[in-house]
Amino acid sequence: MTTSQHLADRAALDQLVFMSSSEGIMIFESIRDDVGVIVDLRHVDANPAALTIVQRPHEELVGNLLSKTFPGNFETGIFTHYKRALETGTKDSFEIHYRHEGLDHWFDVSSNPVGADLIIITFVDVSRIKRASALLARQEEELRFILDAVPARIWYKDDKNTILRLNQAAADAMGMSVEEAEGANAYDLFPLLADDYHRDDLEALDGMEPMLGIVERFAPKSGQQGWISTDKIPLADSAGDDRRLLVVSTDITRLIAAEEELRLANESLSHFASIAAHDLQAPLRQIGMLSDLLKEELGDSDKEGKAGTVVAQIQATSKRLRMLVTRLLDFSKVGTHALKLTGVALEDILEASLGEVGLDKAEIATVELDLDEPSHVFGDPILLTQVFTNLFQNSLKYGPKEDLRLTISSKVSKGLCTVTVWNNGEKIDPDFSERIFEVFSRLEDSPKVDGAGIGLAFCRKVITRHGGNIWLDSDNREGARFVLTLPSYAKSTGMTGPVQ
Amino acid sequence: MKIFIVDDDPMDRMFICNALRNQGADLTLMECENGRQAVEETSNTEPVYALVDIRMPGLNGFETCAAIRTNRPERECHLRVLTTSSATDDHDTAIEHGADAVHVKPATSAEYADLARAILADWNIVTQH
Repeated sequence: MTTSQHLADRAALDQLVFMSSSEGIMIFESIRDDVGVIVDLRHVDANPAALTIVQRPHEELVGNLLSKTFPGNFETGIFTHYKRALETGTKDSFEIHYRHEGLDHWFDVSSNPVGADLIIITFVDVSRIKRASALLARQEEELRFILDAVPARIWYKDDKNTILRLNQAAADAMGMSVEEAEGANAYDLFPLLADDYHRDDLEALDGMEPMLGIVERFAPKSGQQGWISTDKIPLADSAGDDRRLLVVSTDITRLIAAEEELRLANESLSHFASIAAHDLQAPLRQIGMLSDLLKEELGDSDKEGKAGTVVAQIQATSKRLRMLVTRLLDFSKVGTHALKLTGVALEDILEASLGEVGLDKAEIATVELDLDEPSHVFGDPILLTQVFTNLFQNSLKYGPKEDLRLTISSKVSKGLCTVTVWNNGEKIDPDFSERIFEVFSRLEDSPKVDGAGIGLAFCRKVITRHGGNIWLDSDNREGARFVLTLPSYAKSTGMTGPVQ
Repeated sequence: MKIFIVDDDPMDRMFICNALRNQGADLTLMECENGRQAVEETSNTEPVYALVDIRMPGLNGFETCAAIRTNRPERECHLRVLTTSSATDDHDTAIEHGADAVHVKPATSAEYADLARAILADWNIVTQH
C-alpha cells in the first residue's frame, strides 16, 4: 500500500467517522480582529449528528459566524472556553445547560484546537440522563423531607436486621446521625433487643402481613431507653434474597409511665378505701350494737327521757355512718373488681332496678318505658342493675313527692345503646352537671334527703368501665334527664359494640 | 351444752354471748380470744360447737376451723364462721376450711337475737322460747 493510498484511506475513514458519529461534531475557524485577538468563530462544517441535535440545516451554519448562528455561546461564556483552547492549544471539556435559540439541552462538550485557528467541537446531548438524575435528586429530597417531617421513628430494613434507611427521628432516638446509622446492623446498635426485633421482622416478612401495635422496649446502645409502639410492614414485592420491610415506631414511654402511675394510684386508692371501709365497719357496727344494748338497759324507764333521745340519735347517726361506709366500700370495689360481662336485655335490668326501689308499683309513680327493640347491652348485669337503681333512687329522692313521672327510653345505633332516664323533678343547674358525678357531692344538703353522695359517682365509674359514658343532659328544658351509653349486644350474632 | 365463741374482739364476743344467753337454753359459753386457745380448749370436747371469727391475729378463722377438724377427725364438729366480711371469697374459703356455714355479724340486737335463735335451731339445741 502506497503512502498516498494510505492517506486517502485514512481520509475516507475520518470522513466516515465524521458522518456516522452519534456525537455532534462542529468545526470552526477563528476570526481575529486587527490586533489578532479571537473575537468570533466561523462554521466550517458540522456532522449530521450535530445538525440533528441543534435542529439546524447544514447550509444555515456553514460559512456563518457563531455570533449569528448561536449567540447564546457568548452569553453563556462557552465562546471563552473555545477562545482559551485556541490560544493555549489545549483540549478542554465541560458540561453546560444550554438554553438559547430555542434549545434546552444539557451538553457534554469537548473542544480540540487544531493549530492556532481551527477548532473541532464535539458534543453529546446528555439531557435525558441529566433530567433523570435531577428528578432522582428531587425525589430523594422529597422522600427525605417526608421521612424527616414525620414525628414517628422510621426504619427501612432488610431481612438481616440491617438498617437500609431511617429518618431523622429514628437516628436522634438512637443517638446517632442518619449517615452513621444507615447501613448499620441492629445487632450492633441494639445489643439487648436486636434478637426480638429481628424475630418480629422475620415473622412479618414470612407472613407477608403487617404486624401492628407491637408494644416493646427501645434500648439503643447510645440513645435514651424507653417504650415504643411499633408497626412492621413487609414490602409487598420483596421476596427471595431481597426482602424489605418498613418499621414505624412511636415513643410511648411517657404513656406507659403515666399508665403505670395511674394503675398504682388506683390500686393503692382502692386498697386504702377498702381497708379503711373494712376497719371502719367493725367499730361502727359495735357502736350500733352498744347503743341497742344501752336502750334495752334503759328499758321503759326512760323512753321519753333525755337519755333515750340521745341513744336514739346515736343509733341513727351510726346507722347513717354505716351506710356511708358500705357505699364507699362498694364504690371502691367497682374500680378494681373484674367485670362479669355478658349480653343482657336492657328491659330485664330496668325491671330489676325498678323493683329494687319499689317503682314497679303504680301508686308510687308513672313509669313509661320506650325502648328500641331489641335493646340488648353487653355488661355486668349486677353492676348495671345497681346503676339504674341509683338513678331511680335519685328520682325518688329529688323528684316530686306526688305525681312522680319517670320515662326511660333507649336507642341502639352504631354498636352503642343510648339510654335516657328522665323524671319530672326539678331541673338540675347545668353548672353542677359535672360536680354531681363526684364522690360525696350532693346538691341539696337537706336532712329530709337521705343519701351518701356516691350514687352518681358509682354510676359513672361503672359505665366508664363498660366503655360507655354518662352525663346530665343540660339542654333538657324541664325535669332531670340523665343520658348514658353502653356497648350494645346483638343477640343473634353475639357481636358487641366497642368495649374497653 | 358447751359452745365455743372464738373472736379476738371482746365486744363481739359479748354481743353473741348475750344473744345466745337470752335464748334461754342451757348453755355453757366458752370464750376464746384466739385460734390457738380454741384448738386447745376444744381438744377434749365432743361434740364441738363453735362460732369462729375470720380475722384474728395468729391463727385466722379459716386455719382455726381446719385445725379443730383435723385435731380429731372422727368426732362430731359443728363449726360456723361469724364475720364482718360480706365478701363471697371469704365465705367460700371458710367452707373449704371446714366451716358448715358463714354468718355476717349483725348490726342490731334484734338481728343478733334472730341469728342466735337460728343457729341454736340448726344445732337442735332446745330453747325455752
